[in-house]
Amino acid sequence: MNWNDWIPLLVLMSSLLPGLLIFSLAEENVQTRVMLNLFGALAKLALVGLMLWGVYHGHHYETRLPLLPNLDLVLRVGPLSLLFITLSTILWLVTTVYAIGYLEDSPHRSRFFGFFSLCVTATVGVALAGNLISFLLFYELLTLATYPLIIHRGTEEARQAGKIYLRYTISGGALLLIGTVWLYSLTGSLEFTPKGFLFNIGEQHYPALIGIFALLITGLGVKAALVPLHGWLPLAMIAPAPVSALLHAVAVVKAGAFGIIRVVYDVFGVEFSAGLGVLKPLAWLAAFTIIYGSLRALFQNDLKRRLAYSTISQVSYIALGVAIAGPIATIGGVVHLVHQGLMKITLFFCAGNLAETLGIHKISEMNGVGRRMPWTMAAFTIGAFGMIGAPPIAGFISKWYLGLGALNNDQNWVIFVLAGSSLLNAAYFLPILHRAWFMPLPESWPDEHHFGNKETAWALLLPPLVTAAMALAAGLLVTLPFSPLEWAKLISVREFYQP
Amino acid sequence: MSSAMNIEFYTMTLWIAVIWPLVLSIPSLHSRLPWPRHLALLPAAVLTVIPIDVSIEIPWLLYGTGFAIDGNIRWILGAVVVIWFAAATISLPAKEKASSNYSTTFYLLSLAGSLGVLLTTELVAFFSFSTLMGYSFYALLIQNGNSARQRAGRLYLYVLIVADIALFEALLLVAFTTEHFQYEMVRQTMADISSSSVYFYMVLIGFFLKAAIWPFYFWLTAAFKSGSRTIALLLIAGPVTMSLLGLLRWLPVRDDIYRLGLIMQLLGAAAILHSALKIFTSGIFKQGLTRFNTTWLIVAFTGLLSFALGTTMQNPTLSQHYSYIVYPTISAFSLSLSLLILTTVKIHSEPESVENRPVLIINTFHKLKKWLHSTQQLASGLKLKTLALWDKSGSFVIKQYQHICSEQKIKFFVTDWKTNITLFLILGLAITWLAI
Amino acid sequence: MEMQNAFMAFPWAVVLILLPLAGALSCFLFPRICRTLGLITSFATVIAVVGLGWQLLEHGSYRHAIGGWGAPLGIELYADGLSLLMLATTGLVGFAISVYSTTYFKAAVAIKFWPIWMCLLAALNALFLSADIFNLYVTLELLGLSAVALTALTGSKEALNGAMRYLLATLLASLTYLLGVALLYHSFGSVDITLLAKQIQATSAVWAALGLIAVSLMLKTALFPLHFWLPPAHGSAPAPVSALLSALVIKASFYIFLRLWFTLFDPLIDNEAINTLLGLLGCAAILWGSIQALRQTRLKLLIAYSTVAQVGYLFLVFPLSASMGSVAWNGVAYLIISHALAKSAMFLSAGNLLFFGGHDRIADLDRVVQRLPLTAAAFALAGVSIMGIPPSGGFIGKWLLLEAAMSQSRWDLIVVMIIGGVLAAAYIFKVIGYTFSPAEVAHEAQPVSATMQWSALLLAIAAILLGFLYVPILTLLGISDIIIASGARL
Repeated sequence: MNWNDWIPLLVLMSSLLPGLLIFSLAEENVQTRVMLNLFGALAKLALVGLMLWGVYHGHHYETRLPLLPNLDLVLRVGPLSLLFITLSTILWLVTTVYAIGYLEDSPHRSRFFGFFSLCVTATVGVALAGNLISFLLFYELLTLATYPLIIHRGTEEARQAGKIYLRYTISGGALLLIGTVWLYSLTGSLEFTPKGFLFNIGEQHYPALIGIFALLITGLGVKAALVPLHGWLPLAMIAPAPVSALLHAVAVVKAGAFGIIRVVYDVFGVEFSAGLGVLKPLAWLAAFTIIYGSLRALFQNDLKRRLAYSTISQVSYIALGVAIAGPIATIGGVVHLVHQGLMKITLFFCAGNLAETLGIHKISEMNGVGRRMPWTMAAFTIGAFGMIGAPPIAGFISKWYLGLGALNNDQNWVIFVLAGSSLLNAAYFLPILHRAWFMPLPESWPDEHHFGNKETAWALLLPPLVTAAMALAAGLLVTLPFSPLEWAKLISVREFYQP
Repeated sequence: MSSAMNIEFYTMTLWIAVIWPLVLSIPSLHSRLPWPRHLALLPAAVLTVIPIDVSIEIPWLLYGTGFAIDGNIRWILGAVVVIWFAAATISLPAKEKASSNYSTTFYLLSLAGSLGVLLTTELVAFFSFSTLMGYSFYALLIQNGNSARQRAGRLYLYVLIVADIALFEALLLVAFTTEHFQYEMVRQTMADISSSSVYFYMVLIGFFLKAAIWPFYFWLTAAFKSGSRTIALLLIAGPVTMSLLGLLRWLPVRDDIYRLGLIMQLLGAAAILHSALKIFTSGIFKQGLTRFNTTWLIVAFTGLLSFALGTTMQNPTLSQHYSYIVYPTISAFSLSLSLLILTTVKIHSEPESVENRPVLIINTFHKLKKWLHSTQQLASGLKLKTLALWDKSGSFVIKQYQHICSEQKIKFFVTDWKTNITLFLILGLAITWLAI
Repeated sequence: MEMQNAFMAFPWAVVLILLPLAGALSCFLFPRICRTLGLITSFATVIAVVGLGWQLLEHGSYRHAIGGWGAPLGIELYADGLSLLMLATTGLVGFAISVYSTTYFKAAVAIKFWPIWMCLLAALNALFLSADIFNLYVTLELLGLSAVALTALTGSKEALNGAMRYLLATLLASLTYLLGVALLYHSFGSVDITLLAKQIQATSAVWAALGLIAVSLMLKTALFPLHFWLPPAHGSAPAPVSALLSALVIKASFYIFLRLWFTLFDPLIDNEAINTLLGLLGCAAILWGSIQALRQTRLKLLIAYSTVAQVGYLFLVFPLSASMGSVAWNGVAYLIISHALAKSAMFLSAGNLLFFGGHDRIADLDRVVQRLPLTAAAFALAGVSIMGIPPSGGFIGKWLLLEAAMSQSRWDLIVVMIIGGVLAAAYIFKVIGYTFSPAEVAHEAQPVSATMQWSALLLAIAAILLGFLYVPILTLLGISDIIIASGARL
């Protein structure tokens, strides 16, 4: 039988099956659980590697299962899906290691890792979806899988945060559903085709199409945290640090941004969207979110909240790149998907380290942390500078391409937005660094745990270092063939702009 | 054949010079080595001393970059090496505990940044290294911080961030226009396009801020006043010199932008006038040179440079004739100013009286003697007779010098501003004549 | 080959009716082994449904004249795709509930439960196979009475109250229905559906009959505002009984409504007013039921109101079947099946929770997700189907209804359906949220047997899997020889 047809499904199974098995494990079976987790992550990595090699040699991977009349569940591998899925897989592996260390001696680990694996399955499904209905399916599955992770701790606060999270995401999902049904009834197709499938529609349908676009973007914008749909994100910080890291770097937020990319490029087609006039409002909204998120971040004292608002701001770079509508801006937006993931996950890992090792949750408690946990703060520094856009870390590259794309399309106002954003980022990250490195140590830490001679456990220390190194490499080694930038260039040419 | 191999080894020194301080900056490494701050300068010193021009391409780094050294750069490299060496000597002792506040780490990171800025061949790497140097320097500025230093550090940081944003925009404009980032190509290309004035202004703002050229000198005065002697030295060798270099390399070359050249000339002239005013009204005749006045010297010099650059922009033929002067001049200026600071200038913030300064110098002599002694022991251990002679002659010379620098004489020396200015001018002239 | 032919020719339809009756009798006669007998009968019913299905796939829709006496004098049995799916659902859900009940009921109650449950099963099967309106009345009556008896099983005050209300409502409905049947018989002299369908005209008697039958079936299906009996009855009955009632009994009367509407009253149903009225009531049911569910503090009442809301969805097929009828039709059929599976799973898990903690207060569900993980999972998965979130059967049904509505630009219905989905998510996740958190006062827990947990979970998983089984179900639905006005096949 043709294996190529089943590999996408296998990729999904490689995290679904271990997840379901982990649910059945007792709390004490640490070894088995760790083995299952790592086995799943490595198996997925191997399969993704196989797909990378295959796509490079021109193979085609697609799974089709009938779902509805005339609509199939499609899992298709293309350069954009590969980008997202590689990012997800690598970061899942890293986060699994981190989570194993973070949750040691925590209750309900089987449940946690089971839902964790489901979450990754849903993300991979989102990446591989080949039409809007499959995307919708996995998008909603993502909501369902992440909710138990948010309320994992079981406190009243967690329950409330979960409630608000659901309010936003279920409503967003409902809007997405209406948009999808409307589109389907209008055009009879939902397949993701390069350059969209709407250019043949008659002009009388244009108002309907604008309505559909608005519905789809709103539904996706909830997860992508566009203002004013971002309210759930800071509250979701109640979840354990591995969850925040995964949610904000890989799964939920990126799924929303990824969806926006798909809708604009593969459903509407970017030239068609520009013609419809829907990209300008999207650009303004994205720009507003960028500035608003950074402004709110300035006033947060809780570290994870500040990082949450920073995420709100940074993910809109992707939307901005999409809305500027040019090949170079596309490169900037798509590559920021990867770069922001790497940098943000580093920051969240470090925040989790501080909380776990020293009981630090607020920035005002961070005086002198650089001396107690130098490697963690070094990773944090790299992540922070990347966010500010200091070369040669990855964030610099994305800002470069976004700015260049704006210049290419005569949208010079974007340069000001980017400059303002850099300024604001510096304003809220540099004080943290200053406190950590240059302020005197306090008398004692809020809740210190000792790990022998090292600053913290290996499982907690290695992941941020690895991701920080990757962020640095993504910036330093941009011209190498497998760097995210080269990949984004390939995507921009192959999927979006090639005639 | 062997010379080719030598050249190859020598070429490696180019990038080793930059990587070596970076590697050394890891705390667990440099806390195990003696004299890390001096050690870090070794490859750079090699580069200065051996007068071969080499270059190396590194296409896989950033957007494709490279390192190179030629005669011009060597002038500045020499000054940089000497000044950093001096700074290292008068700063902390040889070994440092790991639990300190990472001053050596930031010191070495700044050094790496400076060397990188100096040796790269294109704009993007220049910007990257300059960012590294800039932020590490902030850490140095606020070492052992009292509130004055904190304030100076904050000012510096604000300036740095705004300047970096301006330079980033300038880079974007370059990327928008061309694919290549090498200095000469950029200068030519950016001069030809119609939007070159935006580029010019961005570069102007960025580097004027970073080099504390008039009217953006305020952060430099604050840093000088509140910082230690080491900081003063490093300010010259670090941000000021490197940013002047940046100005030289990034400014577009054009025949007919009369207006833009005029702006630079005006700014330069204003700088010179203002600083002259300040120097002569600040009581230099009564108190001798102070930190404050030294800052104005810097402002004057940078203003002079700005004026000169403005003139060349209006009259490009001039630049061809006199461009080779610029590098040695900058180098000479830095060196002489450092010497001034090291030996003679009164420092406001240190609770140091005139009496202590000779002690400083005498301490240095003591250290020198000890070093000579230990070398002699080593030599006798290795049974090298010539070195034994060295010790004797060395100690003789030192004794003589000590006699000269007795209390009274030193007092006279360091407080007589006339003597100092004369010495300074003589030194400057000597180096300039050498260059030409 | 011989075996296969024999298998094909076997009158599975008749078996489906007789077998449960026999089972009821034997359970009554041999009370000590009633559990085993009931279980065997239930399982045998499933096999019979499979047989019938095979038969239908081979031969198309099936007619069987009992005793050789054809219509209009004799009783005919008719099975097509829709009946098959209803029978299959009944069989599957019935089997799961039987398994559940073997451990749920204590001996004293079980003796009463099994015979009545078998009667109910027989009534259901007969109802789905009936081909004339009087037979439908008979089965409907039997169904109602068995259901009331089951509701009153525990004998508690609440149960008796609920059962009484149920009894009154169901008797009233049955009488109204009978009146309608009488009117029709008087007008046309036949009770067979196909024969009537050929003769029917839009006279005032027929309109009256339509009105009476419609009202009676609305009462039986608990469509807003005639739903008042449902929450007390379903809320106070024992868990397996609530599951039966919500999942199957209500669907039976709705099935009759569908059949009669699209076959018998075909010439009349193009009337805008009636369609709008039904649509309006459906929307009101969705909104009212969901809002009420949100306000409940007891789990079983929440689930009961959820049923009221879901019934509203079902009634949306009527306004939507004008054009693009088959899409709406398929959607409703899908919704019926997935709701049956999901709702029964929900009630069974509620039963587990009640058994576990001795109460079903939502706010006091003490960390059930950790202590009864299978039950919590069952509830959650069933909830996913009720909410209409992919991947699940409920989503497919909802999508089809939305598609039909969109093609007719019925934005009012679309908005109501979406709001209903969001509200459903609200009350389901409210429960799930509480399963994670500790209660203020810990209760002593009674262990719940694995059979009970797994039967609930398997039903819920079936509801989810239904989301991927579109093709086989559609093929089955297509087996029919009734074509409705819009040209779509029933």
